[in-house]
Amino acid sequence: MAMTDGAALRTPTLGLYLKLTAVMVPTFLLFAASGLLWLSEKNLLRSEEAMAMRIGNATSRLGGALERFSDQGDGAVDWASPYVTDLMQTLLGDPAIRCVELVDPANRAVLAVVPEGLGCQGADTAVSLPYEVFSWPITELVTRFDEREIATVKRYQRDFLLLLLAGGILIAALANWLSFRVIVGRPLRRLITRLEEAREVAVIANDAKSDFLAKMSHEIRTPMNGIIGMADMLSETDLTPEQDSYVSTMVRSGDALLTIINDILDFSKIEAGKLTLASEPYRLREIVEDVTQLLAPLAARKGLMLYSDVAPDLPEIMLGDAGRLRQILVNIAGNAVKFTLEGHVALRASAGGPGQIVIRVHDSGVGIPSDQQDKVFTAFEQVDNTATRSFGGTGLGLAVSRQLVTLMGGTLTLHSREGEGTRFDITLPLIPQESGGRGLRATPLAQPGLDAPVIWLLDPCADRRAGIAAPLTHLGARVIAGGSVADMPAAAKPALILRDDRVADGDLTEGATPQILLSDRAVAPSDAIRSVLRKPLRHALLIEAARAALNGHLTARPSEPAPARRAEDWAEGLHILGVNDNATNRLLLERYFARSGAQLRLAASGAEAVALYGAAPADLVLMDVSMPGMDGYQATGLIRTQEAAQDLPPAHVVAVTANVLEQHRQEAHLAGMDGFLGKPLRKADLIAYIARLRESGDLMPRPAAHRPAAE
Amino acid sequence: MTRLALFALLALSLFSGTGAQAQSLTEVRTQLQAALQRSLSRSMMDGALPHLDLTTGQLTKFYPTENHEIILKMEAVYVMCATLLGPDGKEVPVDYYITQSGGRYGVIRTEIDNRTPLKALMDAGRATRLE
Repeated sequence: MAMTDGAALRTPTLGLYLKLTAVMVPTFLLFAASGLLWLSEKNLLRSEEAMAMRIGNATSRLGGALERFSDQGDGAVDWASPYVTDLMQTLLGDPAIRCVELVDPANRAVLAVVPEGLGCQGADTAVSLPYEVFSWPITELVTRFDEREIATVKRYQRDFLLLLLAGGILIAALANWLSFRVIVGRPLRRLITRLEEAREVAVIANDAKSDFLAKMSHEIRTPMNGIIGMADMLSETDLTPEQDSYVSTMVRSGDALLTIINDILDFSKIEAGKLTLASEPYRLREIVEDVTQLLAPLAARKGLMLYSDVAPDLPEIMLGDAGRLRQILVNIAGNAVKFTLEGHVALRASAGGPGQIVIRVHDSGVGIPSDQQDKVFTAFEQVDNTATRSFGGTGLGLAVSRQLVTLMGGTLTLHSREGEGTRFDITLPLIPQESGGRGLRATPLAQPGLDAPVIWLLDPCADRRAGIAAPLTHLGARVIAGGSVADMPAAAKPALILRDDRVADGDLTEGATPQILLSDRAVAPSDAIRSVLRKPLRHALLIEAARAALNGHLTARPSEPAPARRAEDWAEGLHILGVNDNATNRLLLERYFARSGAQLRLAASGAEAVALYGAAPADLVLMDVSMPGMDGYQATGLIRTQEAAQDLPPAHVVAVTANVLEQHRQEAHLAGMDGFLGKPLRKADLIAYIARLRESGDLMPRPAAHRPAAE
Repeated sequence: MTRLALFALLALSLFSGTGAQAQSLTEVRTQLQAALQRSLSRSMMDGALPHLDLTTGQLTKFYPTENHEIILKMEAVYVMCATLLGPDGKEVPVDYYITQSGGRYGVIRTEIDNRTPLKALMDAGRATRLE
């Protein structure tokens, strides 16, 4: 196991100790000082009490002695007698007593005082204890004493207290430090070390898991390429209806398996933090409409109404990861179509809060019970087992979608009530491309200087009506929408009628107003219905059809788009080198290009590919990346070297790989490859890729001088 | 901040003197001790303190051995204690209840070998140390 270096593992004991000390020492100081102060106060009190007792008793005993001395005589006592002063001198043995006076209470005259000669001079601030002596005559004994001994006790106790506190703090700090190092520091360091080691193990295990998944994905995709490709090829042959059904099932099953693999791989990548998002310009309208078109066949089979609209005030071009956004929408809308048995599924994009767009996917399905809504976004969870059995899937799609939305800085929320359908709100940061401007960009429908053209929109679905009307209104038309002809005001003569095929035409066909029919199926245009648009609608087509009709250029248009190209000769004149170590996939490439018009050569390894290219260059190289021996990157490098050495125009080298991580794209680019096609490679994808290259001029047949000799 | 304030308060109380109130208490204490001593001297017969047990009628002589310096206060009444030695060598406590009248302190009640009422007063929080 890789060990983390010692510095990283060192427990920050000193820092922890200082923090602990910052709390502990003041607390200790507070309690220790409080306790010591209490003890000191009690001790001081005892000293004061002892002194008071000593002086009080001595004074009282002297008073008693004087009384007895007085009782011994017959008349007035001679207070000047040395016996009296001798008795009084006995009090001076107490260090606190400064002087003792015998006073006549009648006139405050001092009858006797000790110490003799000095008297009470300088004892003005001393404390006095008067004691009435029942002599003849009555006198008052006054003992004057000070509290110097108390002050001394105080001073001694203060010094002792400070010494004790300082010593206590020092000893406590040292003891704390030692015990902290031993009791806390060592176990803490061991615990941190163990945690670090466990973390390392977990990271390695997670990396191993990601690698395993990536490899598994690659290994599965390679045979999948053969299965799906061959099934595609088989579907192009003459089949009985039963055989055709079997082949279709094979293709659908292959697609489903591919989706599962992609979900698992995405989930793994997101968990490992390896998924990076692109930031490229995209048209939200196109993405939303593409997703709707993609799901339209399934929705049509289930009899569901599927429609979409993008608010015309949203920027036409935005920045973000279009591919991932498409994936999210396909996941969520695909689920909606899958789990809705009747009614509709709608995708609607509009502006949310400031700087946000909200894409709502709403369906009229069975809804999700509130107690199971949390499970929807949990990996490998579906709402219930019935759903899994009925509709299949790993339950990863929504978990992946939510993680992707979060990575994009947005939120994915669910609103559902059982029996009333479900709505997913995807809220994303709105990042318009600066040069893209804002709002739907198209020529206004209204002619300059003329009134806004009136368009009747007849559609029984109010929600869809609003989506269709919005872009037309945005472009200056006055749209009057309703569910039937009866809803239309007779006074407002329309310049154009947009009619859903579920709305009865009534006597509309008799008028001269041009009509555009919105239909789910192919309908032949007629004199009355000059144009037919297939649902779900593409707004660009709708706007163009409406403009043509309003301008009087409407011609009968079929509802089916004309085939873009002939199914054959799609790679005519190209010299192609296909490189793949898998025999099935080579066979598949051979079948794909069978009637394409291209000249195909096949190589089973990187080394063979380099040799074949050296013998005769190709226009396009479909290079498998993972091959035993020389891999695709090395082979491409050598091909590029040959081209440079022989001054050949560079071939277009496409990496064909199941490794679809961003790092693999970058590696392919660094190796000198020009493009990237994921496995399984579908014939349609290949045709589209080559068509794009030819249209952009990036792929042209080589001049005769550079053609293979075999031609 | 709170800790600092508490510490400052503590330091202030530690270094501040007890001042005029302590001096006054010392004065009171010495006067009380003198009053107690006077009362004891006058009550003694042949150096002993006679005590009549009103339940048994027995007269016992107790000899003062030690005065206690602790003084309790109970509103206007002060309580002081001493230890007496009985003829059988047994030590018994004596509690003096003292109050002030006309600037002089005088014993108003003496309880020999009867600590119960004083304990009850202390437990009730009525008799507390003079400080």
